[in-house]
Amino acid sequence: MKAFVGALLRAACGGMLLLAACGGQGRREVVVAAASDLTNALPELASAYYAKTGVTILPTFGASKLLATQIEQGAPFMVFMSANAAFVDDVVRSGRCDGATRALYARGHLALWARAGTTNPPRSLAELSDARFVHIAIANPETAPYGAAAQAALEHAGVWDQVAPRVVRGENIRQALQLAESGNADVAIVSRSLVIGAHGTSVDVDEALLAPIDQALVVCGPSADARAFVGWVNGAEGQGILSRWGLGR
Amino acid sequence: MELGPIVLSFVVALVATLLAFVVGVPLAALLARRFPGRMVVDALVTAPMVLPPTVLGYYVLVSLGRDSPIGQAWQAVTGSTIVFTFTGLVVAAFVGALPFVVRAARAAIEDVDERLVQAARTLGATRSRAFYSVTLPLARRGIGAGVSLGFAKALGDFGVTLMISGNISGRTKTGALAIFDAVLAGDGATANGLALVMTASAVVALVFANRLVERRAR
Repeated sequence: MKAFVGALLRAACGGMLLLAACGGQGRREVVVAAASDLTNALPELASAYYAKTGVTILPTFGASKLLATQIEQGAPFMVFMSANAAFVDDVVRSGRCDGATRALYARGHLALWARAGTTNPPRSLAELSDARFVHIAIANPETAPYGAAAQAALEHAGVWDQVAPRVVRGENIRQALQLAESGNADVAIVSRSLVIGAHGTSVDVDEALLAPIDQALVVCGPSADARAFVGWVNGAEGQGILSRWGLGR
Repeated sequence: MELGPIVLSFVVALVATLLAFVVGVPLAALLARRFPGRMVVDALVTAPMVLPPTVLGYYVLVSLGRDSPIGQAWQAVTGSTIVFTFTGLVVAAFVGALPFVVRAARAAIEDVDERLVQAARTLGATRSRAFYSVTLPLARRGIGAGVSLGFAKALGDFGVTLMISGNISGRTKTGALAIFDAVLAGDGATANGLALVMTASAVVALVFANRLVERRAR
């Protein structure tokens, strides 16, 4: 038993040494908390930025409210890329992030998506009142800006009351999309940036129903690398990549 | 504080625990015997205890989702899906509760003195009669302890439920999901209240389980 515990301890120490070596000095990293609508765009930003500067971007995706709450509780994120502007204001007010670095970096659009093979996919939000759409996936409106936007758009389209009993909620828009990708929901209302390249049909939600969503970011903590990354995202190269994912300002 | 999610959690946990009892005890009796592949069956039944909830949630989603044969058969019969419904919540809780029931019940059944069972058999009892009138009554405390633990586990399921419930207010939003939402929404009062109720219920279930185990040991 003693020998076993000893071996276990040695293995654990070895693992920690390895981790320390891997995350070792000299490697420059920026830990980013990013809204789920950036699931496709941010990895592309990260690899382009790494190729250019050698700085590694480590993204964590989630519902913006979840990330904001984590930052307020002291999570060690260096950049917060939200799916709205309000949560950025919240983290700045909490004192965890530098208000001077707050900037709009993207403008998002809502899209209605059905997977390939769906017979008669919807062409507008109004069509969702039809009972053939048994489950309609959105992100949790309480925590995800795109979830709140989806609900607002359905309300403006005048179909929320009919649709509400059939709405299922993912923890974030990536999960909402997954529920439709797996066929458990008939359609998902998510960000356009998420469905570009997804295997299905997508229709942009009429902007008369919902204005484009301004997304803000902010730097948290003293990192100069984080400030440089944010500056690059808002420059021509970063904006070029974001535009390709339907997130251009 | 909205108590609906807590009530829902209790109803789901009750149904799931009942199912885990009905399925788990025969399974435990089977595992108490020697047969080829016993270790594998045992490991499969126990796996949910140690697997990440996301793995379980993924399995449930894939195997019972609308594209799956089971999901489609269920929909053909009942007209509704398994995921996003009360049924899905019960499945999620059942998967978590089953290993607790099976492990405790198996240990209790194995503890029953084989000579008592054989005595019953020599007196003319059939195998199943001996099981129901000798083995089960003697193993009841251990089974009860497993059922209490399974109930506590079922009451608190979060990961699997998050993946398959659709988190629908008033229908599939359980206590654990409501706490998650309340914390994220910065609603400390609701989070505290709900967390307290869930904690108290779990502690009561555990005390109950402990008492059953201690009396068995005496």
